[in-house]
Order: sequence, then C-alpha cells, then structure tokens
Amino acid sequence: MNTEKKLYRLFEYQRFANNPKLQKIIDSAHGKDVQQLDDEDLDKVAAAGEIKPLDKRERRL
Amino acid sequence: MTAADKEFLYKEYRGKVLGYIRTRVNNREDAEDLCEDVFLKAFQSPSGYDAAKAAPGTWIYTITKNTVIDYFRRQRPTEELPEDLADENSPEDSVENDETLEELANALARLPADLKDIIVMCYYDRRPLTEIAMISGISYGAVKLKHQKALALLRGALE
Repeated sequence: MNTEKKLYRLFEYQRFANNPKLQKIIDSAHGKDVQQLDDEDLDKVAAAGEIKPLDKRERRL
Repeated sequence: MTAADKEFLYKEYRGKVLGYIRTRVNNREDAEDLCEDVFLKAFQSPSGYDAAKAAPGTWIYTITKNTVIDYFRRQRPTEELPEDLADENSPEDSVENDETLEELANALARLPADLKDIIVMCYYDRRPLTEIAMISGISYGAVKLKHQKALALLRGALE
C-alpha cells in the first residue's frame, strides 16, 4: 500500500481512535490555521457562535 | 450498556461514522441509513462493548467498516469490492491499529513544523494542495515540493 493511501486511512482511523500524541499534532496544525486568519475572518468565526475545545478526549465507557 | 453510554456513543461518533460512510457511499440516503444501522448494530450487539478489548472508537470504527463492506456486497454480489474497501477488508493490508497510529505520531513529530502542517491539512482535513498553498501563504509549487519531501520522510517510517 502506498504512503498516501496509508496516511488517509490512518488519519481517518484517528477520528475514531483519538491517539493523544497524534491529536496534539493535528490540533497544533489547526491552531496555526486560526492564527493566520485576519481580523475580518476572526469576526466571522466569533459571530458563528460558541467555540468548542479541539482537544476533547475520548472517554472509556 | 446504559442509556447514557448509548447517548454518548451516538453524539460522539455519529458525525465521524457518517463522514466515513459518505466518503465511500455516494447515495446520501443510503449513507444515512447505513449510519443508523451502525448504531443499531452497536446497541443491539449481543456481546456488547468490551472496554478490555478496545476503545469505543475502535469498536465503532470496526462496525462501520464492516457495515459498508456488507452494503457493497449486497449491492453488487457478483462484483469485487471497490479497491479501497478490498484493502481495508484484507487483514494483511490492515494498518488501522493503535501501534501504527503511534508510529505515525512519532514520525510526524520528527518532521519540521511546516511539513507536519501540510500532511495534516492534506490527509486529515483532505484539503487540495492549492488550498493549502492559500492557507499557508506560499506558492502552489512550494507546497508541492514540501508535500513530496514530507511523504519521502514519512515513507520509511510507515513501512
């Protein structure tokens, strides 16, 4: 299986499995996205409503 | 499994389950039906959920994957499964386990920040490279080069 296919599948699995180390990397990349938004974009984000934490962890049943 | 557990599972995973199914099943109504099937199977599972064996997400993921494979087998009983699903259904091609996720996390942690971000945007967010270029404020050509470099660095770690 090629690396790209493997990455798609692993990141998809991550949505269910929530590996904490990998989630930290994902959240960090997303945090940078937000920092790069300009003021007008940030106003739109604020107007869209409540900001939910990104690092919600999976709980054990 | 208590009613509260079921509610938690449904709220936490419905979007993820539907997202997984929608990337494989084009028909929206079928995808919605399959999503509901996944939770019915989970809630009615005779063996139920065993926390000692897997995290709830892993359990739901397995049910989802099998539900989609069953759907394609019902739809096209005489045809081969689509290539992606055939791979996913093959135990020797299975990459979805906690150990491989850890390997990916460790490999990504060793990458420079800009390459790491491109991999996340490309494979987790599924953004095209043109969009990543706009978000990152660099040219498409530069993103393409960084993407290739990141893949080359990850290739060894993931094989």
